[in-house]
Amino acid sequence: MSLSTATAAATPDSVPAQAGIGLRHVHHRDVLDGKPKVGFLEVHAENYFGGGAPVHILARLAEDYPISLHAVGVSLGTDGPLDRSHLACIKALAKRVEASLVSDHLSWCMVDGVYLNDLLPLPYTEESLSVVTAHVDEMQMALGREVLIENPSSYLQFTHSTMPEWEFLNEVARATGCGLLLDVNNIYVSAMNHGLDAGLYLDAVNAGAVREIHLAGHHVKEVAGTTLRIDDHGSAVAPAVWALFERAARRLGPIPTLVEWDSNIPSLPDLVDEAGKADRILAAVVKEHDRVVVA
Amino acid sequence: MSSLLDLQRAMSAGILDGAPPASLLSLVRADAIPADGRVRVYRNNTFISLTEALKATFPVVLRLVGDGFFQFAADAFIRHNPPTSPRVALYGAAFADFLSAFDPARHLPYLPDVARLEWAINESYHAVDASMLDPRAIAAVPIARYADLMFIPHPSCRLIASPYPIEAIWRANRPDRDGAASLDAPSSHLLVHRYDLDVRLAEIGRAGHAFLAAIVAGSFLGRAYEDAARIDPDFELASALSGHLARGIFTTFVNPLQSHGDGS
Amino acid sequence: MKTTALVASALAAAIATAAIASAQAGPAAVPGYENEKCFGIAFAGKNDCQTANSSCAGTSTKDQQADAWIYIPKGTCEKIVGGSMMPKA
Repeated sequence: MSLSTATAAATPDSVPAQAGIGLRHVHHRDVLDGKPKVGFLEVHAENYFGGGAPVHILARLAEDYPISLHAVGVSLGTDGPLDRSHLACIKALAKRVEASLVSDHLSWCMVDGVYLNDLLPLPYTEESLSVVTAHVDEMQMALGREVLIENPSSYLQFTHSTMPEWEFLNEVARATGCGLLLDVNNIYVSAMNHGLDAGLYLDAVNAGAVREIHLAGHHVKEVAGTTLRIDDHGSAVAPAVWALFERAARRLGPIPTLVEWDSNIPSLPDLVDEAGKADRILAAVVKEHDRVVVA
Repeated sequence: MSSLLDLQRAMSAGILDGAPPASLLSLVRADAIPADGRVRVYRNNTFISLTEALKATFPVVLRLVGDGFFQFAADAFIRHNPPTSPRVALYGAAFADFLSAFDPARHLPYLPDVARLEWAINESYHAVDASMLDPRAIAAVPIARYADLMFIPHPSCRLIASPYPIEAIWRANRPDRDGAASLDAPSSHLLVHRYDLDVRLAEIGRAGHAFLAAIVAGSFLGRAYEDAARIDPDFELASALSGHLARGIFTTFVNPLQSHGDGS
Repeated sequence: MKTTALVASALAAAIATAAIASAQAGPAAVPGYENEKCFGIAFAGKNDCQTANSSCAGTSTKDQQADAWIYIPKGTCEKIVGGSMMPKA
């Protein structure tokens, strides 16, 4: 596909095709006071379900920034019913902050009423596909809007999977009309952990469905004489992930791109600088794109 | 493994009790890192992240017992009381009760009440918003009916009573303090509530506590006052009420003797 | 009957106090509690989507036996003095 169709198709108008930052509570004050120049703010939806200070601060920031709600608790992959009250909370919050994007993960975290606080892996089978597809349908219906589904970092693979993760994601997007949130760091982490080619993964994802990109740092560990990459969001984005992001930006065109930093959280200016790197890559892609159009 | 649900139950068991069933491990691709090692990454992350959440909700308990002991207690707590909701901010409701039954902490009898105070602060901080009662609305009720009114407390309102000076212990363990406190101080009757987005603590005394506890339980104003006056015949209702009204402790009131349909 | 009259006059007084307070400008006019304190309490968001850096510790072996020392509280509880150190109630 051409760059021009990718540029035109992907971006909802309220979120610019620029870098945004993951807003964490330690930066609430600094963002309110300093109003850093970033394209959008993204928060974990579940951290703003209550009343009091957090949601008041977010509502104030929503006057100045597009807000993306990134949920972690819908558990789209659970073989069982979704929690309707959880969906209602996301919907109410999305309305209050006029959320521009709403997303969750291709994973599960709930079973038999127990919540395991992690993004747990799914086997990529027809059975899982029908479970996830039905739940994405239900979530989009409940919220009355498109939701984005993000590829998680993974540390294990199931032997009975019958399709690769990208094929599973493409299929969910095709069947439900949902968007995809491509976490380029997660692609890299999972590909390295499982001996796959991250570039091939990236190229195989249906570009027309991708609405947002995530970037973050990860940690490299030696385990049992081998290397395991851990998605700890605790450092700057790795050079190999920047390279992969450049490839993604070229393929997808300019697109909202989030920089997340959740452990060893840096000062707000350092986080904004890291987002600036993503912006420069996005701007370079726009220039290339303009040259293509002029020629 | 016959279904995704079976797999998820097996994974959940493997995460919570640390022994993934063989039926699950046979489905996990192993290489240099064995299958149970790969499942363990998820187990460890679940326990680490929930322990961190408990530490953030119970910072004073953490400081009182130290990091090693807290992790040991949290590990047992998480295994037996895993979260039932994805809102991690509201995880730990049962931690105080768990600590009171936790044998290795039995020589710290005040510890569960300190945990109760921290839980009340956490709940108050996250409680849903509600508007405060405009006292002028009460003026529409005939004065003769005042004793029959039921006041509805603000969702952020929490009451704690303890035979130990838990507020002093809590305060002594604020980040800028050294933790020194005496158990010989008076018992605690605390109101925890939110005002202007801030969580506040107030020592309201035994009678004041009894009064608000009755209100929270749904008693009429007159009955709540009698509960307080039984403890302290000199309980000053007017000053208690003006404090509560000014701080938005009530959101509205119900006049039970009013006939249906006239709007209260 | 005594209660009814006493409660009525107390609530009427409290409403009057509130009216005076709201007529005056500034937060100082709001009567609070004698011992009320605001500590600037703020909690971090507790939901997240990263993996803890140390999650892969012990991935190839059994859980390490916890060291015996962790069974003994070692924190500021040592600075709490007085009382019988036994349950009062």
